[in-house]
Amino acid sequence: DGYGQKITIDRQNVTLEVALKLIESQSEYLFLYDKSEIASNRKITLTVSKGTIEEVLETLFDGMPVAYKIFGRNIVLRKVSAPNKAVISHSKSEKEAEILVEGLVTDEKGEALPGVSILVKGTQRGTVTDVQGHYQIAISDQSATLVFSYVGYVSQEVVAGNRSEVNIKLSPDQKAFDEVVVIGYGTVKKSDLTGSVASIKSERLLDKPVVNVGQAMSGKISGVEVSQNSGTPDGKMRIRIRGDNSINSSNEPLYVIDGIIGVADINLLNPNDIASLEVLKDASATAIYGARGANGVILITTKRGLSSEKSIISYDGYISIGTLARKIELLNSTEWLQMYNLTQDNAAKYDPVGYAQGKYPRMNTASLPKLFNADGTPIYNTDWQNEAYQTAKTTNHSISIRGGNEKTVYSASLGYLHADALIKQSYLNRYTLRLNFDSNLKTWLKVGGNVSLNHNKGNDHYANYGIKRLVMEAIPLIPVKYPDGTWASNRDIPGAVQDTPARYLDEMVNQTSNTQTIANFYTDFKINDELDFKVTFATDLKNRKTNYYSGKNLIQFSKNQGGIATISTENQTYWQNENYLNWNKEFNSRNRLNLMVGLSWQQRSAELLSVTQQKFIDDFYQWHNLGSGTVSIPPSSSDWRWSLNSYFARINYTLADKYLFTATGRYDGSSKFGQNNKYAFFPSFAFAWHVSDEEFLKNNSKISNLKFRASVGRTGNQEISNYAYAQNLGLSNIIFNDTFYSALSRSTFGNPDLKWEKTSQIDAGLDLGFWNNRVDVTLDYYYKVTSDLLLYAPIPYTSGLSSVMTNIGSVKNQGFELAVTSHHIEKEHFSWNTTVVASSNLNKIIKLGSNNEDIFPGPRHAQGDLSILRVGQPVGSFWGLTRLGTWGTEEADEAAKYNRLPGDLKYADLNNDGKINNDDNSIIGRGTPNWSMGISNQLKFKNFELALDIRIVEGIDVINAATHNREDRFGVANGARSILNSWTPSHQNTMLAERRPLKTYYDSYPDTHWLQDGSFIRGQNLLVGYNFGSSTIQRLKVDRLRIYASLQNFFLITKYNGYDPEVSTATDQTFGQGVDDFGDPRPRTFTVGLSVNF
Amino acid sequence: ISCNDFLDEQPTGTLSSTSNLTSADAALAFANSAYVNTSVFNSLTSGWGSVTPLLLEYMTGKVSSENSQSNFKEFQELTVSSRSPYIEEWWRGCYAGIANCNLALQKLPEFNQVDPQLISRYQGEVLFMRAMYYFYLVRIFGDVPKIKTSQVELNELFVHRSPIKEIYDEIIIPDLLAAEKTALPLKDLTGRTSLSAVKTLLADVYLTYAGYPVKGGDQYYAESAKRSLEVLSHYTLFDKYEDLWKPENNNKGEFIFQIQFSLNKSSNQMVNIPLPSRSGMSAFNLEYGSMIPTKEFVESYREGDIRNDEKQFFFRTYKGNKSKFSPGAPELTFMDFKGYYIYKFFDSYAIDVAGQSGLNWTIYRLPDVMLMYAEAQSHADGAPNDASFAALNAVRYRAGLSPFTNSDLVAFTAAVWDERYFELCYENKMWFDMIRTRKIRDDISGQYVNFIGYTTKWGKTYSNTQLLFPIPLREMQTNPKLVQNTGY
Repeated sequence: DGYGQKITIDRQNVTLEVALKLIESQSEYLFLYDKSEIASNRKITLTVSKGTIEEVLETLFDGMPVAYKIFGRNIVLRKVSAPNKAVISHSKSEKEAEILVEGLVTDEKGEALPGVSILVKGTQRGTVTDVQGHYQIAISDQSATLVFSYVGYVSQEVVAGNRSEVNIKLSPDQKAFDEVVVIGYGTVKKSDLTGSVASIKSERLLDKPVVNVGQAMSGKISGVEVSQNSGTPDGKMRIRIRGDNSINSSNEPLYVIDGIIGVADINLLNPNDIASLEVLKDASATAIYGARGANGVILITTKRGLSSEKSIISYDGYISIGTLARKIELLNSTEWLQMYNLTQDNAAKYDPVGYAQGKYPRMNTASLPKLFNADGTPIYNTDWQNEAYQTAKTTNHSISIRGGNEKTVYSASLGYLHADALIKQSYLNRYTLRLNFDSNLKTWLKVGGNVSLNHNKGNDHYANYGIKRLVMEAIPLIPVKYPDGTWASNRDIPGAVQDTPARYLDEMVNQTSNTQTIANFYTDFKINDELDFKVTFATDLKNRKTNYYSGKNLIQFSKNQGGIATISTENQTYWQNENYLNWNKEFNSRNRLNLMVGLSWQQRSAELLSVTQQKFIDDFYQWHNLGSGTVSIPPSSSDWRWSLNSYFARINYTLADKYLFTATGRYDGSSKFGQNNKYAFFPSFAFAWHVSDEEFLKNNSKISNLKFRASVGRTGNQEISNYAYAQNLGLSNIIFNDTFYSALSRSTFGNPDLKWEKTSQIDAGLDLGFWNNRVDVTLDYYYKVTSDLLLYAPIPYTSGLSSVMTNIGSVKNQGFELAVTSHHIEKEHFSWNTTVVASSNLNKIIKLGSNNEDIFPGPRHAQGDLSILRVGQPVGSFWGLTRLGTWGTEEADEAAKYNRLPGDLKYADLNNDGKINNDDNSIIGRGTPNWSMGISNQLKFKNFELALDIRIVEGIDVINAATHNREDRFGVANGARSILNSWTPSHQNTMLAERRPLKTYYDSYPDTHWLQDGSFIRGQNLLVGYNFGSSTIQRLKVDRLRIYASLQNFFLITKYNGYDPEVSTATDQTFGQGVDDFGDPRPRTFTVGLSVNF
Repeated sequence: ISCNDFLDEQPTGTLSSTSNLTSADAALAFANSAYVNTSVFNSLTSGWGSVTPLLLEYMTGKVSSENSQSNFKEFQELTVSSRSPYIEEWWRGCYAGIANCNLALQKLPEFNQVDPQLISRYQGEVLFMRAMYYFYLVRIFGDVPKIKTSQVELNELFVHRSPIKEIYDEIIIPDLLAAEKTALPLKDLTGRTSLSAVKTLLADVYLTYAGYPVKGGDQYYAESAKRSLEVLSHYTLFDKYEDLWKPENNNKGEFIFQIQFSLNKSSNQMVNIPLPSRSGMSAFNLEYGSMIPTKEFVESYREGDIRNDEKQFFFRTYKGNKSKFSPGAPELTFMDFKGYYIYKFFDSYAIDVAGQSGLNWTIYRLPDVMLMYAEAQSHADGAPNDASFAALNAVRYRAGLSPFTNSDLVAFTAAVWDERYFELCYENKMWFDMIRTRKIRDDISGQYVNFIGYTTKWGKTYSNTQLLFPIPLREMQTNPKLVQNTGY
């Protein structure tokens, strides 16, 4: 029994209803019963101490004509007749019943089911089963049909035939105990959903140890692509719901935490505080956040208090160790030296004049006694990956208290996380505190709220491209330090320049701290049983501060500046006020109406400041005393503010419990748009049909649930920079006489007609349950078109500016999403279920700019653009040359036409103009997958549990821009070991050019050789847990005790040759997925953890 | 709250084009905007170790590169494409400058509370800069869109190309003639435009206008000579060449107009770009070797010319920098680079110590004006006068050469052109001289031969195509009214 909290109740003379509520509050159970059957106002006395639920129920219903049945978390109560003969009702109009039928009704496990209604179809004759599940009924003829029904079970109809004994096994109806799903401005039973909403409860979300929400979601929700692109403990996730809609506006989903819209940084949230997470995907679900819903909405609900007499204290903690999961093969000292000398010798071919002048000597080992032995062999062979990366240790502790009484509940939690990054000197500390309370002050008034304080602070070298690159490029001949204790440096090799990564890591600080305060307060007025009015106020305050120092000796970083110290801060303030009225009208039990209308104001503002000082007498001061630097860089500061004003409404109408209708509308105004277009309306409509409730499917033995959903609607996107509509005059500094002067010039073209980007979406979905919902399937198809794209459309440079924010262009996305959950085995001591989520999204650009011109949105590499936007192609397409290989000796004449020699790279001349240049570029791949899939298995055997998560991403490309440095060029830095496979006169069949010094010439452009298949299969998580049995628990005086061990990223199958194909080094760029320019390695993480409830 | 007020958010840190500005400082800020894009004459472009001046040197055939990422090879092969980042940056930078000038010219007359003399001076500066940007554009691209007012509506953006002559006649020359009449000072030692700079530019414009491709007529030689003569008397040559690469001489001495750099504020990349690639000879992060003179050009200097002595305009040896070599390394005392490198921008404090340079980049200096005068006057009058001889020989005298005395126009012209090569090399003058005269000096024979049909040392032959660079592809794509230059 997974929900086995011990219950203690000592109450005299309370109603049964109160007693049930008390039990509910101390446990996770919910009672389901019909008030007309069960006398809930009957006064009782209940005294139990640390009883199990069974003990409590046994005591409670002793002597009462009530039968109970536990289904998961639900307890169904039924009235039972006395254990006697069946009640036989007679009707004069009816023919005398002659045949007596009896039997046993059992549940799916074969246990007796008391209180089951049995009705002879077409008559009013009926009975109920007794406590042993027996029944007896008289029927008039053998063709009579018996209908067996029981709350929470699927009704069954049986023709008695010539049998006198009819035994029936009823199967549970999952729908009846449907979970409640959070939607915008309310909740709804899952079966009543009309939109496409995925819901994950905390135990599923936190089935593996994670440090942030994004990690927890990864691979679990169809249509939600979570890419963890960084090895940094708090790395930014790229989360996309149903593809990329937008080009210059954001594609990030909207985060709503406990109703606070657009929370700035979800990484700061302690995942242990989450009770449930809902992803709103289609327009019907997101339109209520119309203005900002186009990219999907992620609703996070935190854990609330319990109105139990005994509080629950829980502790969760884990420690983990992360190690480098993969290494990149680089040249060792001997190989490097050999390649170096070969490279210099080859200058005879590629720069004969310079070679003859003596510009290309071999390595003079005799002149470098610190690095070479007398016989010319290298003294050192340093593996810089070993020197730069470490075993990352993570510690996490979370304590929460949940408690309260009948009127007021509260919860409080504290969290602490220390996580090392793989790269040395990098770590994150996070401290979280959360307080939630809800109180029924009056029968007509409920108030509540929450406050959460989150703070993190860490040092992060992952953001530093230079260091990560240097790990690959540092020459293995160089030690970290010489025997005399001085730092070694690459510059000890002629032509090489930088210091070693070890020194950069040591003499550089990049410390970021974030402090976030989120507070929310609501007042809920219950005007009457049908009507309530809710007023909420919320704030989200966020302060970020970055302290940076780069030492005065670090070549190419800060040596010339004598050390650089920068402090930058950003303070964001957000508030919202929302007011909405909810009207629930039940016309009868099968026809219901829910109407919600509301209005909202939101405002977010920020103040930013950055100060840089240079030239320090010593590294001692770092950023602590900016005044100690003697060179001041002009400080920069800025601020901004945007406001939103919205009016929204939603109607849900349920007809005959089978036909569900939803209409939503939101009228939004945003300060970000031009005076002429501030407001826009975002409507949506949805319809759902419980097909399985129709007669023709009602008793189908295979299909236990079938719901069809369809929706259409429009949502918006306003995530552009502030004041983009305005024609701004920018200030710049110019120099006269060594002094800065101000200059004023146009900085934006301005566009008073700027308006909302709109996404129209249709969605058709099926929810299917087979074999009494042992297999659940959710299938969705969607098609969406984003129009009036907020696009920085390129304009002619003759305007003096390069782009203008306009509403031009459109993009479409369509795709399928599939989620299948199968409960293969559901036994008391053994269960096994599997969840598979899969999705596929196709993206296509329909229109761009005023002339449909190509746009190169970045990321860019020094050697050329990597990404292109072209009409008819998907966003995130990679752009480059086609590398055919190398020119062979026999192709010398052909090579000469391209001014190349045998040994040079051979590219495809796509336009056949006899030249290889950018005109020969084409679309060579893309950074979005064909499809992706997550497969999760959960097994429970007695006290043991096992979880296994696999993630598959197929049909995605990665452009390994580091190929430029690791393979295409070589000479003054280390390179990949693959360059041993370079062209030589005796080895001509290769993709790598003949080695030659950088001073001559070489070709290196984004091309099909840089591009690689980035498909992968990853073992996300393998977890073994053990729940201690009741004897241990009782001895330790705890309620629950679980220990577990997990291995994350435990395997990776991919053809990709970098650290990890799930990569983006252009994290801030919309189309940066799959761009790997010295990306982070990913750890393989081993964790052991403990959860305990008191 | 009224909802419209709630949604009315205005920028707080940025002025808008409708802001009401009245102070003299604001007027100055508008005038200053004309200079912001002077960075186009010397700024980094995409491509490691690449700067804008390389475009105008790579095409001359007198320069090479040991930095493959500077894309020298496409110039060496004469296969330069419309995607070249150099081209895009020149186009973008000049037009961004022009847009600033257009706005400033519109705004300056509105400052009616500011001293009119001051406004007049500012207008002179802005007119000068607008003419300068257009002057570069027509020489690099030929016909270009003519934009004289600040564009505000999206439908104004697409402008067709106007003929070169129209750009000269309707913008460049009228702007400079107007600037001549403003309250500009005769000279300026802080780096701002002076009347002398206006006249120098006008002299250059007329000299160019008289040559290819406009061929405006010999009267423009006279107009040119008239302006340069007015400048000559206000400036004197430095005694020693090394004064050219000392930052303390910025805007002084023989410098007439320069692009401003300053230590710790803005470093002149052309100081380290030409240094021997990755040699470790400087305190700069890197030496790029992106611009190295050909052996043929350096060795074509005549016997006795001081300028090609070691560490005058060129160098072959130096010492390693202590930041790049371990103590005691032999390189710290001597390094032989086994070839010629440019010494003209050798700010030794930057190279030895600072790793960044405040040395200005010169647009006009006195020898240029002297040689312009000699050429223009001799062509206007059919023969050189005494002043022209004096001007030419002043340049030769400093180089240790004997005075030139032959008054034959062809011989005199060749002598002037020789000095333009030897004195002004690698200062972004040579290419414009080549296309203005359509002549190129053959390093081996010392003769001036036709540019079209000339075969470079890399075996590539100039054709009509090379007279202009292509319009950047991006501009072609964003403005459907543009037609590409022939050959691209």
